[in-house]
Amino acid sequence: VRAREDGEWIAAGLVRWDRSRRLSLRGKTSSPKLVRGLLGEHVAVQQSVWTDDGRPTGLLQVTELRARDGFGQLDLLLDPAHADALGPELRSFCAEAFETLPLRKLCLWGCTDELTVTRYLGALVHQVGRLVDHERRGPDDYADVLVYELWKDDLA
Amino acid sequence: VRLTDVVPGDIGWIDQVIDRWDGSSRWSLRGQTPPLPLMWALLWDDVVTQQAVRDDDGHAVALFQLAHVNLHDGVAELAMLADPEHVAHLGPLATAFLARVFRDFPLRKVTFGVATDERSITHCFGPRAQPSGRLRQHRRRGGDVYADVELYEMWGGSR
Repeated sequence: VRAREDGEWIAAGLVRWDRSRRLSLRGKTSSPKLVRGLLGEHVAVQQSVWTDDGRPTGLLQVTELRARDGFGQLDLLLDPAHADALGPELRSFCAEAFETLPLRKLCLWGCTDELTVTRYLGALVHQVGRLVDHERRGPDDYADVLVYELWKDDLA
Repeated sequence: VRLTDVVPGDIGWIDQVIDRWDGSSRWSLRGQTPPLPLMWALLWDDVVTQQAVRDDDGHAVALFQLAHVNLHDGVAELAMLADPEHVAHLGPLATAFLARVFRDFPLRKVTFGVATDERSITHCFGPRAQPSGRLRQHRRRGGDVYADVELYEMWGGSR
């Protein structure tokens, strides 16, 4: 994934696709600098997913790697129109991350209105928390943030 | 005990206690010897206001910080580092710090995480700190030993 080549479809996906919290713009507009930051800062490994006919359908990242504690953050930008196909790719990406990085688990934070992670990972993810009314959507309108974990042993 | 301002020289006492005192996630560094730049960053980076708690002899017994303020969503992180032997007496000052935070900043709530082996600091806030999640085996304590991290949130106003 490269900011210069992939910036355009990623910028479009940031406002339309399912996304984890790090990849949520929350009312802001995208910019080349913002996309460069999302693709280049605190990222341990990332891959993009494409259809056979060359259309982008997802961005998969492991970020904020904490080698000492053995966990990192899973960040996702996924075209919901390809949810069925993205599930296996996502599992494969996570399995490879667990093989190559010092990880025991991945944590995933997503807003209730922006990502239904079980749609892609099914019962592999476990919800471990909920931050109530955590992100603003409008006057007196807030979305919850759900916290999930995905364990290496569950994916084996 | 009383609340006092934090000055750069406070890095000295923090360096002495960081391996022994209970801290929220920001300060959960047990078993590590953090380098000075990291200590400096923890004390000042992304912190909008902070106060130390000192006893009558002037010795520091706790540190309260407001960090990662997100005015768009009205949320922020509350960070703490406290001598577990003094936690029982910190309640009123923790409440005062929290009241000042909600008075001075347009926040709806503050959140914090605490490793289960450092949870004494949650006593500062009593039942006002509402559990919102638990990250399992989240902090390595040596070998194959890990501590869970409990997530809490505290609301301003009358929720």
